Amino acid sequence: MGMQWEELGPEGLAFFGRICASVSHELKNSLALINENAGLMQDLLVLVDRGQPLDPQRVGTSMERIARHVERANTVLGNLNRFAHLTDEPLRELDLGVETALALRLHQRLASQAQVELVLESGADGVRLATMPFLLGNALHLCIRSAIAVAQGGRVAVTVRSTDQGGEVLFAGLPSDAQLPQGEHTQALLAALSASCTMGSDGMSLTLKHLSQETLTTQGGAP
Amino acid sequence: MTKKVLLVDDEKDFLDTLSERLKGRGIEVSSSSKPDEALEIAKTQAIDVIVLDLKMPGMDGLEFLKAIKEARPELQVILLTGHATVDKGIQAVKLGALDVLEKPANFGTLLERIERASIEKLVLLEKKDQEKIADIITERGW
Repeated sequence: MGMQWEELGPEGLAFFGRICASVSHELKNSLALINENAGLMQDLLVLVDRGQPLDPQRVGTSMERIARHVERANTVLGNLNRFAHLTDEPLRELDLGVETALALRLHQRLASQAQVELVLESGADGVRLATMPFLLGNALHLCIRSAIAVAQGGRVAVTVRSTDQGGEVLFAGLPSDAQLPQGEHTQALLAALSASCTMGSDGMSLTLKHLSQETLTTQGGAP
Repeated sequence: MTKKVLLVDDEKDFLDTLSERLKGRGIEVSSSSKPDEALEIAKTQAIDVIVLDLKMPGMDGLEFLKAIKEARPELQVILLTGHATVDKGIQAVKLGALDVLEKPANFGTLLERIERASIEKLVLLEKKDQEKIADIITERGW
């Protein structure tokens, strides 16, 4: 049941890589925008030196764009920071809604590239679950990628709810023949999380059971 | 001769700012944040150079590059992207991109590359014209 980080193998690292690549792309876009607006203001100063009056509206527009992108980059960095902290503790009690919301935010760019809208429909808090945060992030990543792949041009509504033994993340708006995440890595990951991923009439469901510290220790779980 | 540039990027703020800066340098600029629309502009309007982002919703920048090079091989494409990997850069050059610049790019460098791309397009068109003339002389050399 337990799973060492190294057992995640190349797929686990790929998960980390994909998220970091997407985030760095977003940050570069914001930096490029800030860079061009700084340049534009420099251009305007050159025109002032040549005797043209300064247009306050153009300066104002540039400053608004810079402020908007500083805010956006800060949000993206905040998400990356929270993502990095998933490895802090091998097992802890967390809020499944909050973690799902983070995973969805981290995949917004990937979704928008595929012209898919990811929407968290339930309240983002209230479902407490004892689990392995990094492995949960990895499992959510696999589910979200599968959902994006089959919901081309569509909308995926995500709901988080509690169950008798833990919690469930439901991805609705997918075709019934949608392919679930597969492969040895996925199976090992789901087993380590005491989780299952199934397709039902209401969508793809990731169901997770509470894990105990004892389980983790006795079965040689994450370090 | 006025250079005509098409900017393609899904970031509207970026398009607006870069357009304004290029226009300030006497360049004629069209822009689009939608790949399909941009492809239509590139196919139907007088454009010398396309400055293209690699990642866009609905179409990969490399797909766009391939489509435009098939339709109008003389158009010069500069990739300006925050997502450049060495592999993607090589693929882009193989598909006919003239240059790959990483965001945030130096504006002076971008202007220089646009200038170079415009010259490259002129050279290609001239070569094409010469080939046409040579064909006419050969076929109707009476």
